[in-house]
Amino acid sequence: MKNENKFSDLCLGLGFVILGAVVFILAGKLQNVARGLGPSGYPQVVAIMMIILGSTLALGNLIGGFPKPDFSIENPKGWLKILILLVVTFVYVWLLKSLGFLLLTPFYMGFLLVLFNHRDYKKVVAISLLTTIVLYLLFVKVFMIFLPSFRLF
Amino acid sequence: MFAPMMSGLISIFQPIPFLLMCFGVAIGTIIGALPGLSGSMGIILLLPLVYQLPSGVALVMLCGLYCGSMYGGSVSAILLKTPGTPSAAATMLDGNPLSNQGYAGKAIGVSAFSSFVGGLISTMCLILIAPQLAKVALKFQAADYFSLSIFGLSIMASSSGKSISKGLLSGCVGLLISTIGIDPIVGATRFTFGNYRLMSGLPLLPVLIGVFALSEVMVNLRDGKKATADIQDQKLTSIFPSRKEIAFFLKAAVVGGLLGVFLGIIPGTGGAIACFLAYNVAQKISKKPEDFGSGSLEGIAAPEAANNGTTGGALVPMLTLGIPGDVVTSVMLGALILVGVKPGPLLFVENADIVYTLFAGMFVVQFLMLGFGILFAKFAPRILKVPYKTLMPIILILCVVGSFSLANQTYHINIAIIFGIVGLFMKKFGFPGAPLVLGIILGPIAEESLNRALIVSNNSWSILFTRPISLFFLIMAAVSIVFSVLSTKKSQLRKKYG
Repeated sequence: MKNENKFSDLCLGLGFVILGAVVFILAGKLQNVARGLGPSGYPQVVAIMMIILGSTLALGNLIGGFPKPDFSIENPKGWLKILILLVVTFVYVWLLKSLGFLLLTPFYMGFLLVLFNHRDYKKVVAISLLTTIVLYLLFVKVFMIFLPSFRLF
Repeated sequence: MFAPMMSGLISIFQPIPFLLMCFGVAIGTIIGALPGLSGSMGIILLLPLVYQLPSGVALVMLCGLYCGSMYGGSVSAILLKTPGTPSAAATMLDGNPLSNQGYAGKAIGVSAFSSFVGGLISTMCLILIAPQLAKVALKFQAADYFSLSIFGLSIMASSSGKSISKGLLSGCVGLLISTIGIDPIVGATRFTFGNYRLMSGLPLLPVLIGVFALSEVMVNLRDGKKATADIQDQKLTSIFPSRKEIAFFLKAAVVGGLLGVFLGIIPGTGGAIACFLAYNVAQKISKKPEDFGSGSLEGIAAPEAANNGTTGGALVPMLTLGIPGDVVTSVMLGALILVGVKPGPLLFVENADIVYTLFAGMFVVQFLMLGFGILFAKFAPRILKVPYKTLMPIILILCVVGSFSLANQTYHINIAIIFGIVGLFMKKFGFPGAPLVLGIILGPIAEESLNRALIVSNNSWSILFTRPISLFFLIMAAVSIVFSVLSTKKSQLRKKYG
């Protein structure tokens, strides 16, 4: 196994141990019952399983010495693209309620196509409009599923 | 059995269900053929539509998609030397050489016919085995159900990733997510942190969309997949195999189909193992074993029949026990719960009409798959040329619309995006997504069963080990984990010492 994988797995294993411990404590504050598990029992059972498995993952990566930390990012451009995609998608979802699906989606679709390296802009416009209209007709007219529409107020 | 089967056939031959079934097979075949897209993603993309349908129709449509995607994977294996699904890898061994010799049409035809044979065998086995297994499963008690859930999770965890501990951790996270909301025992709220939306727990559909579809789109964006597939320009002619050819490869197809069913029933084995095993066996029983690897028709027929043989086999544990056999059936399990069908032995008692509609539908699906498979071969080269840079944005929009359509709330889109990020990092660090989803699905069943078992036994955990069925499932869970650890160690040692 690569050294960087060993280090990340060690960190992830420890992360799961901490998550398990937090869940165990939080669940302990829930109501308890005399017979059966009650609301707290089952999450605590899962938390214990998580602590054991997290420890196994962490300890397994300590065999052969402490792995060397590696903080380099593989394919930074790709990750930046994902970050841009996420930010724009959250903005799209936020605006969807007020601007509506029909008005907003062609722009969002056009942006996605450019992000995915489409450079023929005539095609980008055509695909964006066509996809929006087809999806709108399919969902609203055929499947009778409501999609957000433009609202002034 | 005859009367309910007839009634099932009548219900699927109504215009709308029949059209939807055709749609499911067609979409499944196309999605299966496109490398990088899987049957599970197809099911997820269709969920917004499926969600609106009556349960029986939805089930049949999903089965059509499942079977279609299993066949579709072979088309790209033959034409592109890139299997659309992992289980189509064995088909590539002889399918691609035959395509290179200028007989791509023939290879696809043999693949479609063998998939049909395998599918028919698996449907017959499903009809014969599932009701009997359901009768046995009706005797299960609370402790048995808990152990069965643990067994299901351990099988999925050990089969869907390289590291068993990561698979199990993924399952644990799923179990933990299932505890969010109002608890089923005394009605107390858990882990909602004052958010009223979380009181009903996390919605399954956006989670599925995020983990399986959105994460895939993000991986494609990050890695910048090739714009279009390298596809040979050749006219696909004489697709349907002749009688002489069918007589030549039928034995291999039947053997492959039977092997597929057998391995499909065992949860976690998956189609890929069945296909390679079938390929091996077909070579051993062939009169022309020397042709294998250079375009043998039997070499295509056996793995393809095994591939579709696993479909009916994998449905047996999913329908009777609620334990999926592979990743696609685990997504299908989630989809069924969304449309109001609760797989398990009671399904055969309370919703026998749905079960028989499914049985009848599975038969019809095989014929549709054969017809569409042959028809699709003509258009396959053009469909496979659709660039990823166009396909992925469309999938993303479908994911957004699909999440929204669940309850007409943008909250669900946000959940899907968050789980898309979770899925992306799970992929990066080698955590499989299927155990997480299965954990969310099986979590409530496991909790309720364990609670009931402890109440009955006066808080004695020994009930899990004193009931024979429960003990059996726990032993099987332990065996699957130990087996997985040993096989990982073995492959590590092999890599190290050649």
